Amino acid sequence: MISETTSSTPLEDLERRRAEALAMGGEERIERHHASGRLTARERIAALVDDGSWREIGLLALPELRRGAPSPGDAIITGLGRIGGRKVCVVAIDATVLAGTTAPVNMRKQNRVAEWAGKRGLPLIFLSDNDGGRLPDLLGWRFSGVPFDFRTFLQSPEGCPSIPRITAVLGPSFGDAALHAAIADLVVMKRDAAIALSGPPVILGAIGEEISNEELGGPAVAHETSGSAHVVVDEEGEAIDAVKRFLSYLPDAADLPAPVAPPAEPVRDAEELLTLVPDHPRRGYDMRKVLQAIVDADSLFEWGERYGRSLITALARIDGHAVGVVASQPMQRAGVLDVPALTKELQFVELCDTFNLPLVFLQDVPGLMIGREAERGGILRCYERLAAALARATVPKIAVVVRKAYGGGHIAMGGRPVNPSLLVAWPGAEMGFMAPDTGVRTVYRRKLAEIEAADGLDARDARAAELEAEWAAESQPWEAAAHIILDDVIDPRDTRETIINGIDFAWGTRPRVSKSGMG
Amino acid sequence: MSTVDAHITGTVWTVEVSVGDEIDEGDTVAIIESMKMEMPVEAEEGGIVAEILCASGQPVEEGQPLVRLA
Repeated sequence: MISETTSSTPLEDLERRRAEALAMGGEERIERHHASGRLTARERIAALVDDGSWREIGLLALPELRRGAPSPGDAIITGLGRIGGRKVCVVAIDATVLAGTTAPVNMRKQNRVAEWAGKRGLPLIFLSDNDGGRLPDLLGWRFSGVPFDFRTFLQSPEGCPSIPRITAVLGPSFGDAALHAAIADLVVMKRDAAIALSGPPVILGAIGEEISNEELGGPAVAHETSGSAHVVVDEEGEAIDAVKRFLSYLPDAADLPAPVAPPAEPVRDAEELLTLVPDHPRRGYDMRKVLQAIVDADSLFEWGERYGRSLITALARIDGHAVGVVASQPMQRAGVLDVPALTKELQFVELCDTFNLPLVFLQDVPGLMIGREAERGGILRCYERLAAALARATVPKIAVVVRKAYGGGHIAMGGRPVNPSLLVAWPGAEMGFMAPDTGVRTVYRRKLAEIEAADGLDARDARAAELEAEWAAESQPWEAAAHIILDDVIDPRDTRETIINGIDFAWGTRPRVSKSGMG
Repeated sequence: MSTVDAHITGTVWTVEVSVGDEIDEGDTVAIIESMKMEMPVEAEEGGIVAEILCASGQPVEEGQPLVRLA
């Protein structure tokens, strides 16, 4: 509790007030917080920013509506710091104060730092752990008057380039904190945390649904079903590491080129590319191994791993340069592009185009998902929006057909209509409108039925096999190269060099900055 | 004691190991058929095969143990 009258000097008064603010919710609440397996907001900030770099904004803030309980900073810590020397803005929710709830002063602090970040081109990092809006502080008319300005809080102010927004969900996060995480470029969550619009007590009261934090917004929902959280970790330290690692691929703002790291050779030998992808088109394999033979060692950072799992979206480095990788994962649903995979890809492509990361596509895709579930999920819109975004993207786009490239799946991964900078294929590639077996069965359905009726099943199968062989011949990469739809057919072992060179020449002599995200 | 688990829901097509086999990380222990694709299930760590927990033709769920390693 802050005492209002003292006989001390102004400097002593400042020191006392600072000490009270730094004490957060007090020893007892901090102890309870620690006992629940969580670090305090100040411990989190200390782990995040460089020693001695923290400059707090609003340390002496207090809630509009004062209470008996300690309420330093109005339950939020905001400020400026450095990560590996890079300037960042930080918002950390202090769950030891009023359960980390939001109220007007708290919101003003958040908005002030977010606007600072957007105006000055600094990454914005949220460390989230809160219980939603505070009552009665937000009752009635007050809610309509909350001091958020979404022109400067949820985005960079008009005319200012986009900035990386990163959220670490380190405790249960409901309401504002969850909503604001939803527009972050990276959301990393601790496995025992949750993220949801409303918490279980509100849900029980309002719609009578009894549900736990975990069922509501734990990783099985947030990471695997809705795709709201991109990375899941077990410890807070890993979450902080993920924040720093993600940031290492991105520029401070969209008008700056992405940072370059020292190049590293891939962990797998390029020779392995000759055997990692099976010739047999129905055999699955793990595309991550193929990537390990192409990208710099230990540079792969998977983004949304368990959402839309038939597609890998990952940040990586190639020859030290940060790229966004979009690769089929034939091990999951045969690599088909379904609604979650397309949704994830659209978000990832926008992220990469905004922050000047060239896109590298590795295609082994049987097509877009068809059927009842896909249509109900809105696959038409998902695909078309993605195709438009890909075509619009101005970062270098290098597409490699590794094995299969059928139908809209091919186009959704850098096919000719979306204007790739370079489109090449491995010699074993098969490309076309649809796979030969499906195509023959569709186009020659009546004819094959007639053969079966006249000469039996064997005759029918023999004719179908002949037709499939004709279609397969047309699907080989040679005619596509002959018509310069493919720029080249390459030795799989040259994939890395082809990508490095393709990106370099696609940027040309121009600044390595795309048009997207410029405000 | 660890297991090698199915990474996808489908039908076991073949089991590629026998009890007593010594396997390395990355070895294929079974092939699951799903979505018209044959999906090799690889060991994430090496060990000796102690028990086979599935059979050809058996439907399996993602995460279901297929083989137990000692």
